[in-house]
Parts: sequence; C-alpha cells; structure tokens
Amino acid sequence: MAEGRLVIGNKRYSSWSLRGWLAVHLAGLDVEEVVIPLAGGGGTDAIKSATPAGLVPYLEHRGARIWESLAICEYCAEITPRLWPQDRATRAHARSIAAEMHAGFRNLRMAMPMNLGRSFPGQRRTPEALADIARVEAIWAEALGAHGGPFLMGAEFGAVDAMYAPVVARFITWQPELSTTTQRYMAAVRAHPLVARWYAEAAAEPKEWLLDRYENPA
Amino acid sequence: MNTALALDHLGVAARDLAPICAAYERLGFTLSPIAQQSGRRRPDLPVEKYGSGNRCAFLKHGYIELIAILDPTLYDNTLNAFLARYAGIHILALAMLDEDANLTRLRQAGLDIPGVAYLERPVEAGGPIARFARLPFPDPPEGRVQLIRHLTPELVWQDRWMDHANRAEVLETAILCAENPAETATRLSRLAGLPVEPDPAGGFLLRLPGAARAAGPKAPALETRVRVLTPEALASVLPGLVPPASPCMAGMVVRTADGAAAARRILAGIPTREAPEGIMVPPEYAAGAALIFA
Repeated sequence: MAEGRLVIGNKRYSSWSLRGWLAVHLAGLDVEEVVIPLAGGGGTDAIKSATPAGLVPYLEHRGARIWESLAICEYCAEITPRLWPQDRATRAHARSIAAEMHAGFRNLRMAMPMNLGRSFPGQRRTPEALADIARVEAIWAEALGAHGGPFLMGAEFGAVDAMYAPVVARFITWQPELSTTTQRYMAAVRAHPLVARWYAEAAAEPKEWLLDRYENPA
Repeated sequence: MNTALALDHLGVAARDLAPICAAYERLGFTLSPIAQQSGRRRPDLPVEKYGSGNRCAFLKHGYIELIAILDPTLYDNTLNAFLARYAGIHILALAMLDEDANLTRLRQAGLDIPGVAYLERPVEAGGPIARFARLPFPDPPEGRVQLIRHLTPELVWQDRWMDHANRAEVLETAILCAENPAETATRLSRLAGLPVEPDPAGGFLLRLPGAARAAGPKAPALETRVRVLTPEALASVLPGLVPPASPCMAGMVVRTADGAAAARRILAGIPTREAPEGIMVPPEYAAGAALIFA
C-alpha cells in the first residue's frame, strides 16, 4: 500500500520532476507515481489542479505535502539522511551548490531545455547559456576535485547529484564544449541505475506526448 | 643548466580573487582550489603567512596564476604596488632547473640578489604544501620578473586541475610592452642568461629553448617566448590594445589542442578580436590581460 503519491511531468521533458523523482527513489519512499504530460510554457490545467503551486514535482507522503524540488530533497533526506554528506562542511558545500542550481542557471535552462530523446549538438550556444555552463563546470570540477568523484560529493549519488542530473541530460542533448572531467561526471550520472531507468521510461512514453517546441527547437 | 629554460607562468593580479576567477572560468579554464601563500620576505627572515592567495589554470606546459589579496591585514607580497599601476599581468616567471647555478651566474653578472627566495603554499586548504625556489630580479619596473623552480611539481600540476573545456595546453608566449623595449629586454636577457633578438613586429624577442619537465612534470621540451614590443608593435600583435602603463605585461598566447576550435565556441558572446596568432579575448574579459587562444 503506497504511503502517498508523487506527481511529475512526463519524463522526456520534465527536468524538475527528475530531481524530485530521484530524491524520492534514493530515499526509498513508497509512493504512487502520477505522470501528467507537459504542454510546454507553463503548467497544464491537469497539473494546476493536482498541485498547490501548479508545478511539478509535488509529493504527498504520510500527511506531508511538499513542493519545490529542493524541499522534496530535504524531506527525503529527513527520512534517509545519507542523501546529504555526513560531514558538516561537506554537507554545507553540497547544500550550497544544490541551492545555486535551484535558484539559478535560468539562461541555460531556457536555451537548452531537457529532451531525453533528441540530440542537438552545437545549437543554442547563447552567451548567457555559455556563462551558466562555465559556472556549472567550475562547480562540478571543484566538487569532484575536492571529494574524489565519481559523484559530486564522492562515491555516493546523493541529493546534490539529483539536483544536477537534468543539467547532465541537457549537456548530453545539446553537447556544448565541455571538459573531460565534466564528461566523466556526466557518464557516471547517466549510468546510475535510477537515471538509466528514468531514460528508459522516458523512451517508452506515448508519441502523443511529444511537443513540437521541444522536438524542433528554432 | 644556469639559464632560464621555459615560460613557467604569468600572474594576473587583482584586488579580489572571485571576479577574476569567474572571468577565467567563463573562458573555459578549470582552476585549482584557493591557496593562501606564505614565505620569507628575505632569505634571512622566518616563514610568515602572506595576505596573497591564488588559483591557477595549470596547463600541460606552464600555467596562468590568478592572484589577489585574501587577507589585507597580512603582508601583501607587493600586490598593492602592482595594482596601483594597473590590474592585469604583473608576474613573469621563467622556469629553471638549477637555482644555485643561476644564482651564481646572476651574481657574477653584477646583480644584487640576496639568495634563493623560497615560497610555499598548500595546494588546497589543509592539503600538502607546494614549495618553490625563486630568483627574482631586484625591483624591476615591469613587475615581478623571476626565475622559478618547482620543488614539488607533482603537487601543483595535478590532472584533476588540468582539464580545460577550451582545450588549453601550453602557455606559449608572454607579451610585454615598453616605450623603451631595449631596456626591458636587457633586464630579461640578464635574468634569463639568454640573448634577445629583434622581434619582427618591433621590439625584442626572448626565445626560451625548453627542456623536458621544466614547465610541468609531464611537459615536453618546447620553445616558448617572451616578446617585448613597442606600443606601436603591440597594436599589431594585440589588436586594439592600449597599454595601461610603460613598461607593462600586456598579454599572452595560449596554445590549445585543437587550434582554438573549442575556445571559439566557448567565447561566443564575448567581443573577441582576430589577432595574427589566434582569437583574442580583450583585457576587459580576462582580468586585464589580453589573452589569445591559438
């Protein structure tokens, strides 16, 4: 018997949903998964009627209602603390860069939307997106250098990796110029069983869910 | 070997470290962690913590140092004097492999050098200590001009910090500018123990012959250069550049693995200029240094 439900957008496009979904699965919550196809450019009526903020992901679990990806990560970490590093300073580092992801990189997100089924190498390299990419690369290089990889805080895939997993997906799709360090991290994230499962389930979504604006970007 | 062998590094100085690091990260460089420096002001004084600190872009051959003041209450390592002139490149370091032989040569040439100056810094907070032996030219007007030998090269040139999205590999040329280039070139020639020759653009050229591992633990023997140009010549080598002072360290050429193809894509949106040797990032976007990707 499920203890709640997780409302997400379809897996091919919904980058924020991927974050919440990863956190929920990393924490092992037993929740029903409700997938609502995105319409692009704002929440659909179905999403608006199903979630308090009109956005996905949205989690209901044992009487708690949680929205916003970072809040979902924090909630999941209350149940499974190893989603954040055990060491205080390392945990502070992880939280800082997770929060930076949550609050920022808008230009990257706007220019290079997530589409797990397509590849658009070399496109949409706007100056603003390139500046965001440079910052993401710096964040990853610092974390990987400090904690030894293969994930940002070391050996375990945690909440901070969940926060950056959709960035990995964007980089795989849009293929900007990236350092080898970044590419190694991307390979580690892509190969993680949960990320691989999300990709597989995205590939199995009905064709009717495809959106022209994401499939044929200008 | 009692001469300089290669271009080791250039130091780009600013008052604050974070903005210049962000600028270089935007250019596609991966930077080493922040490290606060310490050393002896004179060979006879004890080691003390300095107020200066750096992050570096380590290349297969040489590196770019980004240096700033981390703690203004401590000895500033002469950065304030540099920054009073302009923000940009103030350190030119040439690699040597034998500090004692070079010290002897410099003293025989009449230079008043008190001894080998040692500098040290942790490679990262709490990490192992990297050490350097230096022979600075006494108070040159160009900034800090010195010979250097890395006593712990494997600690600083770490693979994890040498992977750059812009595919930068070699710090190939340092470009200086002076109203009287002969004076600056003479100083460099004396420090390096090598002759200078006329630079075809106008000014002088110091060729550093290269030696395996002189500018990095895996660096091949490779010729690198220091050009000392007149202001007129500078404008032909670094298009549109107005030198901030005379003499000054105006720019650098960084050789990439792919003929600057990746760099050109990363630099989209930055008002770059085409230079004879490659694509030039103007000083406003590289912390006061003109930076050519070749």
